[in-house]
Amino acid sequence: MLKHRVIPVILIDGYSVLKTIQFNQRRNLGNPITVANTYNTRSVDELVILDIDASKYNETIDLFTIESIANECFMPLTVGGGIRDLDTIQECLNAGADKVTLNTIALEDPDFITKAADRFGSQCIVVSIDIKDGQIYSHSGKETNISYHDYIKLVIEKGAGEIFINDVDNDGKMNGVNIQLINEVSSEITVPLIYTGGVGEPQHCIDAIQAGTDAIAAASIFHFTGHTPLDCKMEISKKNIPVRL
Amino acid sequence: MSDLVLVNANIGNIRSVSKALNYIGAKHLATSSITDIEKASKIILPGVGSFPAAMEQIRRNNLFDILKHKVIEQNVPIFGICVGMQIMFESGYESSINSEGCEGLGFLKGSVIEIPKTTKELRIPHVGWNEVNHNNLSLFNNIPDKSDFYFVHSYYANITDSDTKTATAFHGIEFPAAIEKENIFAAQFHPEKSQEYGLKLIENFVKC
Repeated sequence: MLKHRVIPVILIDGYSVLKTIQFNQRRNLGNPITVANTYNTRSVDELVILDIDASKYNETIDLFTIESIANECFMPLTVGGGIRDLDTIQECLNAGADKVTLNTIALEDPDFITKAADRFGSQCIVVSIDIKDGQIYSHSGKETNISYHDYIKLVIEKGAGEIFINDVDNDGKMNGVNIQLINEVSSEITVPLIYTGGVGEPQHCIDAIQAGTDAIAAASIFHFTGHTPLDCKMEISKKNIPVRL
Repeated sequence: MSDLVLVNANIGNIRSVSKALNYIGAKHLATSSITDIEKASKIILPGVGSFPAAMEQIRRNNLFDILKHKVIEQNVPIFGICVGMQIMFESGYESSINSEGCEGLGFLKGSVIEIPKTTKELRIPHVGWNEVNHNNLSLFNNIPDKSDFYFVHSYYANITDSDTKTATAFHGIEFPAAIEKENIFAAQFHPEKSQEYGLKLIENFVKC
């Protein structure tokens, strides 16, 4: 049977790894390839690499970074950051990524999701949604009039293969996950859900999975505490939740 | 002679497969050249994406005939991965613009169709690590039965030929996770992303 995934997230600002709190304060953590290597163990299910500044500066996630990480890690890679056209997606996949995340472009032009899914297959296309104060949070600062419920339905209709929900309010706090949000979203969707925001200890992963998420993604816990993805998975496994050890 | 050719038809993730082959010490040539493929004694056909897009790339690179010649006439061993497995079948149905179905390479009998949504909770696409029942396929030699491999797909091969041996996985339905028929091998999952056992599986093909 399909296992729940624990997914470390590596955030970069062009070339360095960093971590945010509530999408705000930043701490610089070094070289992405070095950081990715620390995850290169048997127990890591998947890796997500996101360039959180790319969109703002009209750039895209650096291909050399993806290539370098793909060279070392024989595990699934999802990459994102400023991706806005089909050629870029092709380049990311050629560089070693298995999936790409679309955030800003999906808000601006949901039909792009369909174009991408037609060419690359839905399974390659993850739509990433940042939620703050119960509303969609857009990097470009534009007001979005659509509720996240309706937006999620829309992107799935358009061909999104997975939904990646990022709870901005809990980002970096390591104080627990947004159980209510996970409950709501997971009961409304038919594609896999990856949730991130607030994981500070293995119990939070369990909370998130029991609330309905298929996969739990996290960064701070792995950067700043002694917990590893394997620790989290062992705790999850003790609750008889299917997970790969 | 052991010319292992990795078909590079711009259908994604050549790099990952190439790195996996390097890791296990398998010399290979990544190419889309007909002349190179003609010399192959073994072929790997990776693929990420959609069935119609992959077939379009095969045609664009003029590879249909040479692959058919090598696989069907010369019986050269071939290993297809993910979409590379799917296009080996007769047809595939995919994308919002092509509900009529798209012709595949036709090396294997059957068609590629959507994983059915058998329950409300079933997540499609099938994404993540899932266990595979080996059913004695040689691809899985020295790999523990029911090991997990990484899947990322919405479609599966509906095989209409009982001579095609299958290893299976379950997601709503039981479906072929890997196949073997004479010189034709393939995996629906991504062995190059499935760490230790995935690399072992690739090695099993390379050494076969």
